[in-house]
Amino acid sequence: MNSSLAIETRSLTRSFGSKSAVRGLNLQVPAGSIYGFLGPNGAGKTTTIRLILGLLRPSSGYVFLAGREIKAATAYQELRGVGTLVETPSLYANLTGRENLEVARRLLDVPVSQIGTALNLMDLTADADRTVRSYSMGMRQRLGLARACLGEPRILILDEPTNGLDPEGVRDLRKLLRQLASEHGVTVFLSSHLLSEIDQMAEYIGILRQGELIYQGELRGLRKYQRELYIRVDLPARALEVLKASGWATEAQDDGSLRVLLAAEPESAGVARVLVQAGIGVYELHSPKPSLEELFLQLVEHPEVAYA
Amino acid sequence: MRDFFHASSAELLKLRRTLALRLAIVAPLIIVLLQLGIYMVRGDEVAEREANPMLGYVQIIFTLWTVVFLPFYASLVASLLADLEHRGQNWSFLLTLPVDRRCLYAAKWSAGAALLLLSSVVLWLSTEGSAFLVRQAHPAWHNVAFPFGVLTTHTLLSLLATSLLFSVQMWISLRFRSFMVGLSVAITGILVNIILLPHGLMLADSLIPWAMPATTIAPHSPYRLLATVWGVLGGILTMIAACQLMSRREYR
Repeated sequence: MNSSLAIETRSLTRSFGSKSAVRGLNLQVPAGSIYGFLGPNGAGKTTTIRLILGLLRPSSGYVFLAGREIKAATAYQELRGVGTLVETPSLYANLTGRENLEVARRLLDVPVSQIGTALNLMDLTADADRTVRSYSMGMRQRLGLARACLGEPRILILDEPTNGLDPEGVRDLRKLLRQLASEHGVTVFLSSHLLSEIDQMAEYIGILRQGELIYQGELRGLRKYQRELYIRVDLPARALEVLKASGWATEAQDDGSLRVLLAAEPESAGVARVLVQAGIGVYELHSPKPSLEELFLQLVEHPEVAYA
Repeated sequence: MRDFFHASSAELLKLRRTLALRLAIVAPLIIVLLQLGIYMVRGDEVAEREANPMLGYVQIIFTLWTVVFLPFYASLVASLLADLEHRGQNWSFLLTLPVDRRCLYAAKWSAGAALLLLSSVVLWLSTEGSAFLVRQAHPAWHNVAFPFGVLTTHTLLSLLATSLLFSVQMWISLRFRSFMVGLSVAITGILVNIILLPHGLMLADSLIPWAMPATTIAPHSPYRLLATVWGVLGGILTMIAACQLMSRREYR
Protein backbone atom coordinates (compact mmCIF):
# COMPACT_ATOMS: atom_id res chain seq x y z
CA MET A 1 0.00 0.00 0.00
CA ASN A 2 1.40 3.36 -1.05
CA SER A 3 0.03 6.40 0.78
CA SER A 4 0.86 8.74 -2.11
CA LEU A 5 -1.65 6.85 -4.22
CA ALA A 6 -5.30 7.83 -4.13
CA ILE A 7 -6.39 4.62 -5.85
CA GLU A 8 -4.41 1.44 -5.95
CA THR A 9 -5.30 -2.06 -7.04
CA ARG A 10 -3.13 -5.10 -6.61
CA SER A 11 -3.48 -8.14 -8.83
CA LEU A 12 -7.14 -7.28 -9.17
CA THR A 13 -9.00 -10.01 -11.00
CA ARG A 14 -12.67 -10.52 -11.64
CA SER A 15 -14.23 -13.34 -13.62
CA PHE A 16 -17.80 -13.87 -14.73
CA GLY A 17 -18.15 -17.61 -15.15
CA SER A 18 -15.18 -18.76 -17.18
CA LYS A 19 -14.58 -15.31 -18.67
CA SER A 20 -12.11 -12.97 -17.03
CA ALA A 21 -13.33 -9.38 -17.24
CA VAL A 22 -10.28 -7.99 -15.44
CA ARG A 23 -6.97 -9.81 -14.97
CA GLY A 24 -4.17 -9.01 -12.53
CA LEU A 25 -4.78 -5.28 -12.61
CA ASN A 26 -2.22 -3.13 -10.79
CA LEU A 27 -3.57 0.39 -11.03
CA GLN A 28 -1.63 3.19 -9.41
CA VAL A 29 -3.38 6.53 -9.40
CA PRO A 30 -1.25 9.27 -7.80
CA ALA A 31 -3.05 11.51 -5.32
CA GLY A 32 -4.01 14.89 -6.76
CA SER A 33 -3.60 13.82 -10.37
CA ILE A 34 -5.99 13.51 -13.29
CA TYR A 35 -5.84 9.91 -14.43
CA GLY A 36 -7.37 8.91 -17.75
CA PHE A 37 -8.57 5.34 -17.95
CA LEU A 38 -8.77 4.17 -21.55
CA GLY A 39 -9.74 1.03 -23.33
CA PRO A 40 -11.93 -0.17 -26.16
CA ASN A 41 -15.51 -1.21 -25.48
CA GLY A 42 -15.62 -4.37 -23.40
CA ALA A 43 -12.03 -3.94 -22.18
CA GLY A 44 -13.20 -3.99 -18.56
CA LYS A 45 -13.23 -0.28 -17.65
CA THR A 46 -16.67 -0.23 -16.05
CA THR A 47 -16.01 -3.55 -14.29
CA THR A 48 -12.82 -2.02 -12.87
CA ILE A 49 -14.69 1.05 -11.65
CA ARG A 50 -17.35 -1.13 -10.04
CA LEU A 51 -14.65 -3.16 -8.32
CA ILE A 52 -13.00 -0.01 -7.03
CA LEU A 53 -16.32 1.24 -5.65
CA GLY A 54 -17.27 -2.07 -4.04
CA LEU A 55 -20.25 -2.62 -6.35
CA LEU A 56 -18.58 -5.87 -7.41
CA ARG A 57 -16.40 -8.19 -5.38
CA PRO A 58 -13.01 -9.17 -6.82
CA SER A 59 -12.34 -12.84 -7.59
CA SER A 60 -8.88 -12.10 -6.22
CA GLY A 61 -6.71 -9.10 -5.50
CA TYR A 62 -7.14 -5.91 -3.52
CA VAL A 63 -8.42 -2.38 -3.89
CA PHE A 64 -7.16 0.54 -1.82
CA LEU A 65 -8.72 3.99 -1.69
CA ALA A 66 -6.55 6.64 -0.07
CA GLY A 67 -4.49 3.82 1.40
CA ARG A 68 -7.42 1.94 2.95
CA GLU A 69 -8.50 -1.42 1.67
CA ILE A 70 -11.98 -1.65 0.19
CA LYS A 71 -13.91 -4.73 1.16
CA ALA A 72 -17.37 -5.13 -0.35
CA ALA A 73 -19.15 -5.61 2.98
CA THR A 74 -17.76 -2.45 4.51
CA ALA A 75 -16.94 -0.50 1.35
CA TYR A 76 -19.35 2.25 2.33
CA GLN A 77 -17.15 3.26 5.24
CA GLU A 78 -14.21 3.91 2.92
CA LEU A 79 -16.31 5.75 0.36
CA ARG A 80 -16.61 8.94 2.37
CA GLY A 81 -14.74 11.54 0.38
CA VAL A 82 -15.32 9.78 -2.93
CA GLY A 83 -17.61 11.35 -5.53
CA THR A 84 -18.86 9.14 -8.32
CA LEU A 85 -20.56 9.23 -11.66
CA VAL A 86 -20.89 5.71 -12.99
CA GLU A 87 -22.14 5.34 -16.56
CA THR A 88 -25.26 7.41 -17.24
CA PRO A 89 -26.10 9.92 -14.51
CA SER A 90 -28.61 8.17 -12.29
CA LEU A 91 -31.19 10.76 -11.35
CA TYR A 92 -34.79 10.92 -10.16
CA ALA A 93 -36.81 12.25 -13.08
CA ASN A 94 -39.77 13.18 -10.85
CA LEU A 95 -37.62 15.53 -8.77
CA THR A 96 -36.16 18.91 -9.68
CA GLY A 97 -32.43 19.38 -10.06
CA ARG A 98 -32.26 20.96 -6.63
CA GLU A 99 -34.27 18.14 -5.06
CA ASN A 100 -31.97 15.55 -6.64
CA LEU A 101 -29.05 17.25 -4.96
CA GLU A 102 -31.05 17.47 -1.74
CA VAL A 103 -31.53 13.68 -1.78
CA ALA A 104 -27.76 13.27 -2.06
CA ARG A 105 -27.16 15.96 0.55
CA ARG A 106 -29.39 14.23 3.09
CA LEU A 107 -27.64 10.93 2.48
CA LEU A 108 -24.21 12.49 2.74
CA ASP A 109 -25.22 14.68 5.68
CA VAL A 110 -23.49 17.79 4.35
CA PRO A 111 -24.54 21.45 4.75
CA VAL A 112 -27.41 22.79 2.58
CA SER A 113 -25.12 25.55 1.29
CA GLN A 114 -23.23 22.96 -0.78
CA ILE A 115 -26.26 22.53 -3.04
CA GLY A 116 -26.06 26.15 -4.23
CA THR A 117 -22.32 25.84 -4.70
CA ALA A 118 -22.66 22.66 -6.74
CA LEU A 119 -25.45 24.12 -8.90
CA ASN A 120 -23.37 27.21 -9.50
CA LEU A 121 -20.32 25.14 -10.33
CA MET A 122 -22.21 23.34 -13.08
CA ASP A 123 -24.11 26.42 -14.26
CA LEU A 124 -27.46 24.89 -13.35
CA THR A 125 -28.81 27.50 -10.97
CA ALA A 126 -31.35 28.86 -13.48
CA ASP A 127 -32.79 25.40 -14.15
CA ALA A 128 -32.51 24.06 -10.62
CA ASP A 129 -36.24 24.14 -9.94
CA ARG A 130 -37.34 22.33 -13.09
CA THR A 131 -38.00 18.61 -12.91
CA VAL A 132 -35.17 16.52 -14.30
CA ARG A 133 -37.67 14.93 -16.69
CA SER A 134 -37.42 18.10 -18.78
CA TYR A 135 -33.59 18.24 -18.73
CA SER A 136 -31.50 17.60 -21.81
CA MET A 137 -28.87 14.86 -21.73
CA GLY A 138 -26.14 17.44 -21.21
CA MET A 139 -27.98 19.03 -18.28
CA ARG A 140 -28.48 15.63 -16.68
CA GLN A 141 -24.79 14.96 -17.07
CA ARG A 142 -23.94 18.28 -15.44
CA LEU A 143 -26.35 17.57 -12.60
CA GLY A 144 -24.74 14.14 -12.12
CA LEU A 145 -21.37 15.88 -11.92
CA ALA A 146 -22.74 18.48 -9.49
CA ARG A 147 -23.95 15.63 -7.31
CA ALA A 148 -20.58 13.90 -7.52
CA CYS A 149 -18.99 17.12 -6.22
CA LEU A 150 -21.26 17.32 -3.15
CA GLY A 151 -19.46 16.64 0.08
CA GLU A 152 -16.20 18.06 -1.28
CA PRO A 153 -14.76 14.69 -2.29
CA ARG A 154 -11.02 14.01 -2.26
CA ILE A 155 -11.39 11.50 -5.07
CA LEU A 156 -13.69 11.81 -8.07
CA ILE A 157 -14.40 8.67 -10.07
CA LEU A 158 -16.12 9.55 -13.31
CA ASP A 159 -17.21 7.12 -15.97
CA GLU A 160 -17.59 8.85 -19.34
CA PRO A 161 -18.26 12.29 -17.80
CA THR A 162 -18.34 14.15 -21.12
CA ASN A 163 -21.23 12.07 -22.51
CA GLY A 164 -23.94 14.34 -23.83
CA LEU A 165 -22.08 17.56 -23.11
CA ASP A 166 -21.86 20.20 -25.82
CA PRO A 167 -18.39 21.56 -26.73
CA GLU A 168 -18.80 24.43 -24.29
CA GLY A 169 -19.81 22.03 -21.53
CA VAL A 170 -16.81 19.82 -22.28
CA ARG A 171 -14.51 22.82 -22.11
CA ASP A 172 -16.01 23.94 -18.80
CA LEU A 173 -15.73 20.45 -17.38
CA ARG A 174 -12.12 20.23 -18.42
CA LYS A 175 -11.43 23.53 -16.72
CA LEU A 176 -13.28 22.46 -13.59
CA LEU A 177 -11.51 19.12 -13.28
CA ARG A 178 -8.13 20.76 -13.79
CA GLN A 179 -9.00 23.34 -11.17
CA LEU A 180 -10.17 20.68 -8.70
CA ALA A 181 -6.94 18.76 -9.18
CA SER A 182 -4.53 21.67 -9.12
CA GLU A 183 -6.14 23.98 -6.56
CA HIS A 184 -7.90 21.55 -4.25
CA GLY A 185 -5.73 18.47 -4.63
CA VAL A 186 -8.68 16.34 -5.76
CA THR A 187 -7.74 13.13 -7.53
CA VAL A 188 -9.77 12.69 -10.71
CA PHE A 189 -10.06 9.21 -12.16
CA LEU A 190 -11.96 9.32 -15.40
CA SER A 191 -12.71 6.81 -18.04
CA SER A 192 -13.59 8.10 -21.45
CA HIS A 193 -13.73 6.99 -25.02
CA LEU A 194 -13.01 10.57 -26.10
CA LEU A 195 -9.25 10.31 -26.40
CA SER A 196 -8.85 13.96 -27.31
CA GLU A 197 -10.41 14.87 -23.97
CA ILE A 198 -8.08 12.61 -22.03
CA ASP A 199 -5.22 14.00 -24.11
CA GLN A 200 -6.05 17.53 -22.97
CA MET A 201 -6.82 16.73 -19.36
CA ALA A 202 -4.94 13.75 -18.01
CA GLU A 203 -1.41 13.69 -16.68
CA TYR A 204 -1.45 9.95 -16.15
CA ILE A 205 -3.17 7.31 -18.17
CA GLY A 206 -3.90 3.63 -17.94
CA ILE A 207 -4.80 1.65 -21.02
CA LEU A 208 -6.82 -1.49 -20.65
CA ARG A 209 -7.07 -4.18 -23.28
CA GLN A 210 -9.07 -7.37 -22.79
CA GLY A 211 -9.00 -6.89 -19.04
CA GLU A 212 -5.26 -6.30 -18.80
CA LEU A 213 -3.38 -3.08 -18.26
CA ILE A 214 -1.10 -2.65 -21.26
CA TYR A 215 0.18 0.79 -20.36
CA GLN A 216 0.21 2.88 -17.23
CA GLY A 217 2.17 5.99 -16.55
CA GLU A 218 2.55 9.60 -17.50
CA LEU A 219 0.96 10.64 -20.75
CA ARG A 220 4.19 12.31 -21.87
CA GLY A 221 5.96 9.02 -21.15
CA LEU A 222 3.73 7.30 -23.65
CA ARG A 223 4.78 9.80 -26.28
CA LYS A 224 8.38 8.67 -25.88
CA TYR A 225 7.34 5.45 -27.53
CA GLN A 226 7.70 7.02 -30.94
CA ARG A 227 6.75 4.38 -33.42
CA GLU A 228 6.95 5.77 -36.91
CA LEU A 229 9.76 7.32 -38.90
CA TYR A 230 9.24 8.60 -42.43
CA ILE A 231 12.37 8.93 -44.56
CA ARG A 232 13.19 10.25 -48.02
CA VAL A 233 16.27 8.89 -49.71
CA ASP A 234 17.85 8.91 -53.15
CA LEU A 235 17.63 5.09 -53.52
CA PRO A 236 14.34 3.97 -51.96
CA ALA A 237 14.47 0.36 -53.20
CA ARG A 238 18.02 -0.12 -51.90
CA ALA A 239 17.13 1.58 -48.59
CA LEU A 240 14.13 -0.74 -48.18
CA GLU A 241 16.43 -3.78 -48.54
CA VAL A 242 19.04 -2.40 -46.15
CA LEU A 243 16.59 -1.50 -43.44
CA LYS A 244 14.74 -4.80 -43.66
CA ALA A 245 18.05 -6.63 -43.51
CA SER A 246 18.90 -4.62 -40.39
CA GLY A 247 15.68 -5.82 -38.71
CA TRP A 248 13.43 -2.79 -39.01
CA ALA A 249 9.88 -3.27 -40.24
CA THR A 250 9.87 -0.99 -43.29
CA GLU A 251 7.41 -0.36 -46.05
CA ALA A 252 7.41 1.82 -49.15
CA GLN A 253 4.84 4.61 -49.35
CA ASP A 254 3.03 5.75 -52.49
CA ASP A 255 4.84 9.08 -52.47
CA GLY A 256 8.24 7.38 -52.64
CA SER A 257 9.08 7.75 -48.98
CA LEU A 258 9.68 4.85 -46.58
CA ARG A 259 7.88 4.22 -43.32
CA VAL A 260 9.91 2.55 -40.58
CA LEU A 261 8.41 1.19 -37.37
CA LEU A 262 10.65 1.74 -34.36
CA ALA A 263 10.55 0.30 -30.88
CA ALA A 264 12.01 3.46 -29.33
CA GLU A 265 12.83 6.98 -30.38
CA PRO A 266 16.68 6.69 -30.18
CA GLU A 267 16.53 4.13 -32.98
CA SER A 268 16.03 7.02 -35.44
CA ALA A 269 19.73 7.76 -35.23
CA GLY A 270 20.54 4.11 -35.95
CA VAL A 271 18.39 4.14 -39.07
CA ALA A 272 20.19 7.23 -40.38
CA ARG A 273 23.60 5.70 -39.63
CA VAL A 274 22.83 2.42 -41.40
CA LEU A 275 21.57 4.22 -44.49
CA VAL A 276 24.58 6.53 -44.69
CA GLN A 277 26.98 3.61 -44.19
CA ALA A 278 25.24 1.85 -47.10
CA GLY A 279 25.97 4.87 -49.28
CA ILE A 280 22.38 6.00 -49.49
CA GLY A 281 21.68 9.72 -49.52
CA VAL A 282 19.17 10.75 -46.84
CA TYR A 283 17.09 13.83 -47.72
CA GLU A 284 14.64 13.82 -44.87
CA LEU A 285 13.91 12.08 -41.60
CA HIS A 286 10.50 12.90 -40.25
CA SER A 287 8.91 11.57 -37.12
CA PRO A 288 5.34 12.90 -36.74
CA LYS A 289 4.10 13.47 -33.23
CA PRO A 290 1.27 10.98 -32.88
CA SER A 291 -2.00 11.91 -31.26
CA LEU A 292 -3.15 9.99 -28.22
CA GLU A 293 -5.65 8.30 -30.50
CA GLU A 294 -2.88 6.99 -32.74
CA LEU A 295 -0.82 5.85 -29.76
CA PHE A 296 -3.87 4.24 -28.22
CA LEU A 297 -4.71 2.35 -31.38
CA GLN A 298 -1.12 1.20 -31.76
CA LEU A 299 -1.05 -0.03 -28.20
CA VAL A 300 -4.40 -1.74 -28.41
CA GLU A 301 -3.90 -3.26 -31.83
CA HIS A 302 -0.16 -4.01 -31.68
CA PRO A 303 0.91 -4.20 -28.05
CA GLU A 304 3.86 -6.39 -29.08
CA VAL A 305 5.31 -3.55 -31.18
CA ALA A 306 4.70 -1.05 -28.45
CA TYR A 307 6.80 -2.94 -25.99
CA ALA A 308 9.25 -4.58 -28.36
CA MET B 1 -29.22 4.64 13.20
CA ARG B 2 -28.01 8.00 11.89
CA ASP B 3 -27.62 6.49 8.44
CA PHE B 4 -31.16 5.12 8.65
CA PHE B 5 -32.67 8.50 9.50
CA HIS B 6 -30.74 10.23 6.74
CA ALA B 7 -31.74 7.57 4.24
CA SER B 8 -35.40 7.67 5.36
CA SER B 9 -35.46 11.41 5.02
CA ALA B 10 -34.06 11.09 1.48
CA GLU B 11 -36.63 8.39 0.67
CA LEU B 12 -39.50 10.62 1.75
CA LEU B 13 -38.21 13.39 -0.51
CA LYS B 14 -38.05 10.96 -3.43
CA LEU B 15 -41.81 10.40 -3.12
CA ARG B 16 -42.61 13.86 -4.46
CA ARG B 17 -44.70 13.81 -7.65
CA THR B 18 -44.81 10.01 -7.70
CA LEU B 19 -47.71 7.81 -8.67
CA ALA B 20 -47.24 5.90 -5.41
CA LEU B 21 -47.93 9.04 -3.38
CA ARG B 22 -50.95 10.03 -5.48
CA LEU B 23 -52.38 6.53 -5.20
CA ALA B 24 -52.07 6.65 -1.41
CA ILE B 25 -54.81 9.29 -1.53
CA VAL B 26 -56.74 8.22 -4.60
CA ALA B 27 -57.03 4.46 -3.90
CA PRO B 28 -59.00 4.72 -0.63
CA LEU B 29 -61.05 7.60 -2.02
CA ILE B 30 -62.18 5.48 -4.98
CA ILE B 31 -63.74 2.88 -2.67
CA VAL B 32 -65.31 5.42 -0.37
CA LEU B 33 -66.74 7.48 -3.23
CA LEU B 34 -68.21 4.36 -4.84
CA GLN B 35 -69.80 3.37 -1.57
CA LEU B 36 -71.01 6.92 -0.96
CA GLY B 37 -72.62 7.03 -4.40
CA ILE B 38 -74.49 3.77 -3.82
CA TYR B 39 -75.66 4.76 -0.34
CA MET B 40 -76.78 8.21 -1.44
CA VAL B 41 -79.16 6.50 -3.84
CA ARG B 42 -80.18 3.47 -1.73
CA GLY B 43 -79.60 4.74 1.81
CA ASP B 44 -83.27 4.63 2.91
CA GLU B 45 -83.69 1.14 1.54
CA VAL B 46 -80.66 -0.09 3.50
CA ALA B 47 -81.81 1.62 6.70
CA GLU B 48 -85.11 -0.28 6.55
CA ARG B 49 -83.38 -3.60 6.02
CA GLU B 50 -80.50 -3.45 8.51
CA ALA B 51 -80.46 -2.96 12.26
CA ASN B 52 -77.19 -0.99 12.17
CA PRO B 53 -76.74 0.27 8.62
CA MET B 54 -73.67 2.30 9.55
CA LEU B 55 -71.81 -0.85 10.58
CA GLY B 56 -72.68 -2.42 7.22
CA TYR B 57 -71.49 0.73 5.49
CA VAL B 58 -68.08 0.50 7.16
CA GLN B 59 -67.86 -3.27 6.71
CA ILE B 60 -68.43 -3.10 2.94
CA ILE B 61 -65.79 -0.41 2.53
CA PHE B 62 -63.27 -2.48 4.48
CA THR B 63 -64.13 -5.69 2.66
CA LEU B 64 -63.31 -4.04 -0.67
CA TRP B 65 -60.24 -2.38 0.86
CA THR B 66 -58.71 -5.46 2.47
CA VAL B 67 -59.58 -8.11 -0.12
CA VAL B 68 -58.42 -6.26 -3.23
CA PHE B 69 -57.31 -2.66 -2.84
CA LEU B 70 -54.90 -2.86 0.10
CA PRO B 71 -53.01 -6.00 -1.06
CA PHE B 72 -52.79 -4.58 -4.57
CA TYR B 73 -51.83 -1.09 -3.45
CA ALA B 74 -49.16 -2.42 -1.06
CA SER B 75 -47.71 -4.52 -3.88
CA LEU B 76 -47.87 -1.62 -6.29
CA VAL B 77 -46.13 0.68 -3.80
CA ALA B 78 -43.33 -1.86 -3.42
CA SER B 79 -42.92 -2.11 -7.19
CA LEU B 80 -43.10 1.65 -7.74
CA LEU B 81 -40.58 2.44 -5.00
CA ALA B 82 -38.13 -0.14 -6.28
CA ASP B 83 -38.68 1.05 -9.83
CA LEU B 84 -37.57 4.56 -8.84
CA GLU B 85 -34.09 3.09 -8.39
CA HIS B 86 -34.14 0.42 -11.09
CA ARG B 87 -35.36 2.75 -13.86
CA GLY B 88 -32.73 5.42 -13.44
CA GLN B 89 -29.99 2.91 -12.58
CA ASN B 90 -29.81 4.78 -9.31
CA TRP B 91 -28.29 1.85 -7.45
CA SER B 92 -24.92 2.75 -8.93
CA PHE B 93 -25.26 6.08 -7.13
CA LEU B 94 -26.87 4.91 -3.89
CA LEU B 95 -24.56 1.97 -3.31
CA THR B 96 -21.44 4.07 -3.75
CA LEU B 97 -22.39 6.45 -0.96
CA PRO B 98 -20.82 6.24 2.47
CA VAL B 99 -24.08 4.91 3.92
CA ASP B 100 -24.67 1.43 5.34
CA ARG B 101 -26.47 -0.46 2.61
CA ARG B 102 -28.82 -2.14 5.09
CA CYS B 103 -30.02 1.33 6.07
CA LEU B 104 -30.62 2.25 2.44
CA TYR B 105 -32.86 -0.78 2.00
CA ALA B 106 -34.56 -0.38 5.37
CA ALA B 107 -35.33 3.24 4.44
CA LYS B 108 -37.17 1.97 1.37
CA TRP B 109 -39.36 -0.08 3.68
CA SER B 110 -40.00 2.92 5.87
CA ALA B 111 -41.08 5.02 2.86
CA GLY B 112 -43.48 2.27 1.78
CA ALA B 113 -44.81 1.95 5.32
CA ALA B 114 -45.38 5.72 5.39
CA LEU B 115 -47.44 5.50 2.20
CA LEU B 116 -49.53 2.62 3.57
CA LEU B 117 -50.09 4.59 6.75
CA LEU B 118 -51.15 7.62 4.72
CA SER B 119 -53.62 5.58 2.67
CA SER B 120 -55.08 4.12 5.88
CA VAL B 121 -55.48 7.58 7.37
CA VAL B 122 -57.18 8.78 4.17
CA LEU B 123 -59.49 5.76 4.32
CA TRP B 124 -60.32 6.41 7.98
CA LEU B 125 -61.07 10.07 7.40
CA SER B 126 -62.97 9.63 4.16
CA THR B 127 -65.10 6.80 5.56
CA GLU B 128 -66.07 8.98 8.46
CA GLY B 129 -66.70 12.00 6.23
CA SER B 130 -68.76 10.05 3.73
CA ALA B 131 -70.84 8.47 6.53
CA PHE B 132 -71.61 11.99 7.74
CA LEU B 133 -72.86 12.92 4.24
CA VAL B 134 -75.03 9.77 4.05
CA ARG B 135 -76.50 10.59 7.42
CA GLN B 136 -77.29 14.13 6.31
CA ALA B 137 -78.93 12.90 3.11
CA HIS B 138 -81.20 10.29 4.71
CA PRO B 139 -83.42 11.12 7.70
CA ALA B 140 -83.65 7.40 8.61
CA TRP B 141 -79.92 7.47 9.44
CA HIS B 142 -80.02 10.46 11.74
CA ASN B 143 -80.11 8.44 14.91
CA VAL B 144 -77.74 5.70 13.82
CA ALA B 145 -74.50 5.71 15.82
CA PHE B 146 -71.27 5.76 13.88
CA PRO B 147 -69.01 2.77 14.76
CA PHE B 148 -65.78 4.66 15.46
CA GLY B 149 -64.34 1.73 17.35
CA VAL B 150 -64.90 -0.71 14.50
CA LEU B 151 -63.55 1.77 11.96
CA THR B 152 -60.40 2.40 14.00
CA THR B 153 -59.80 -1.27 14.80
CA HIS B 154 -60.31 -2.31 11.18
CA THR B 155 -57.95 0.42 9.96
CA LEU B 156 -55.24 -0.41 12.44
CA LEU B 157 -55.37 -4.22 12.24
CA SER B 158 -55.58 -4.37 8.46
CA LEU B 159 -52.63 -1.99 8.19
CA LEU B 160 -50.52 -4.05 10.61
CA ALA B 161 -51.47 -7.33 8.91
CA THR B 162 -50.28 -5.90 5.58
CA SER B 163 -46.68 -5.76 6.85
CA LEU B 164 -45.76 -9.28 5.76
CA LEU B 165 -47.20 -9.00 2.27
CA PHE B 166 -45.54 -5.61 1.83
CA SER B 167 -42.18 -6.98 2.98
CA VAL B 168 -42.39 -9.94 0.61
CA GLN B 169 -43.40 -7.69 -2.27
CA MET B 170 -40.69 -5.17 -1.45
CA TRP B 171 -38.03 -7.87 -1.41
CA ILE B 172 -39.19 -9.24 -4.76
CA SER B 173 -39.37 -5.76 -6.30
CA LEU B 174 -35.89 -4.80 -5.12
CA ARG B 175 -34.42 -8.12 -6.15
CA PHE B 176 -35.85 -8.18 -9.70
CA ARG B 177 -35.58 -5.21 -12.04
CA SER B 178 -38.70 -6.16 -13.95
CA PHE B 179 -41.82 -4.42 -12.69
CA MET B 180 -43.86 -7.42 -13.81
CA VAL B 181 -42.31 -9.94 -11.41
CA GLY B 182 -43.66 -8.20 -8.31
CA LEU B 183 -47.04 -7.50 -9.86
CA SER B 184 -47.43 -11.10 -11.09
CA VAL B 185 -46.78 -12.40 -7.58
CA ALA B 186 -49.27 -9.88 -6.18
CA ILE B 187 -52.01 -10.76 -8.63
CA THR B 188 -51.51 -14.47 -7.95
CA GLY B 189 -51.66 -13.85 -4.19
CA ILE B 190 -54.81 -11.75 -4.48
CA LEU B 191 -56.49 -14.36 -6.69
CA VAL B 192 -55.66 -17.09 -4.15
CA ASN B 193 -57.21 -14.87 -1.50
CA ILE B 194 -60.39 -14.35 -3.54
CA ILE B 195 -60.67 -18.09 -4.21
CA LEU B 196 -60.12 -19.06 -0.55
CA LEU B 197 -62.28 -16.37 1.02
CA PRO B 198 -65.77 -17.79 0.28
CA HIS B 199 -64.73 -21.17 1.67
CA GLY B 200 -64.26 -19.85 5.17
CA LEU B 201 -60.74 -21.25 5.49
CA MET B 202 -59.92 -18.67 8.09
CA LEU B 203 -56.79 -20.37 9.45
CA ALA B 204 -55.32 -20.59 5.95
CA ASP B 205 -56.33 -16.99 5.28
CA SER B 206 -54.63 -15.86 8.45
CA LEU B 207 -51.32 -17.34 7.27
CA ILE B 208 -51.26 -16.31 3.60
CA PRO B 209 -49.77 -12.80 3.36
CA TRP B 210 -52.17 -11.52 0.67
CA ALA B 211 -55.22 -12.78 2.63
CA MET B 212 -54.20 -11.58 6.07
CA PRO B 213 -55.60 -8.03 5.87
CA ALA B 214 -59.06 -9.42 5.03
CA THR B 215 -58.88 -11.85 7.97
CA THR B 216 -58.49 -8.96 10.40
CA ILE B 217 -61.89 -7.49 9.54
CA ALA B 218 -63.87 -10.74 9.78
CA PRO B 219 -66.31 -10.17 12.66
CA HIS B 220 -65.90 -12.62 15.54
CA SER B 221 -63.07 -14.49 13.79
CA PRO B 222 -60.69 -16.15 16.26
CA TYR B 223 -57.85 -15.61 13.79
CA ARG B 224 -57.90 -11.82 13.67
CA LEU B 225 -55.16 -11.53 16.27
CA LEU B 226 -53.11 -14.33 14.68
CA ALA B 227 -53.22 -12.58 11.29
CA THR B 228 -52.19 -9.29 12.88
CA VAL B 229 -49.36 -10.67 15.00
CA TRP B 230 -48.06 -12.93 12.21
CA GLY B 231 -48.33 -10.01 9.80
CA VAL B 232 -46.27 -7.69 11.98
CA LEU B 233 -43.66 -10.22 13.11
CA GLY B 234 -43.37 -11.81 9.68
CA GLY B 235 -43.09 -8.39 8.11
CA ILE B 236 -40.28 -7.29 10.40
CA LEU B 237 -38.37 -10.58 10.11
CA THR B 238 -38.71 -10.59 6.34
CA MET B 239 -37.51 -7.01 6.18
CA ILE B 240 -34.44 -7.74 8.30
CA ALA B 241 -33.57 -10.83 6.26
CA ALA B 242 -34.13 -8.98 2.98
CA CYS B 243 -32.00 -5.98 4.00
CA GLN B 244 -29.21 -8.28 5.12
CA LEU B 245 -29.24 -10.33 1.93
CA MET B 246 -29.71 -7.38 -0.41
CA SER B 247 -26.80 -5.53 1.16
CA ARG B 248 -24.49 -8.39 0.20
CA ARG B 249 -25.62 -8.52 -3.39
CA GLU B 250 -23.36 -7.30 -6.15
CA TYR B 251 -24.56 -4.60 -8.48
CA ARG B 252 -23.72 -5.50 -12.08
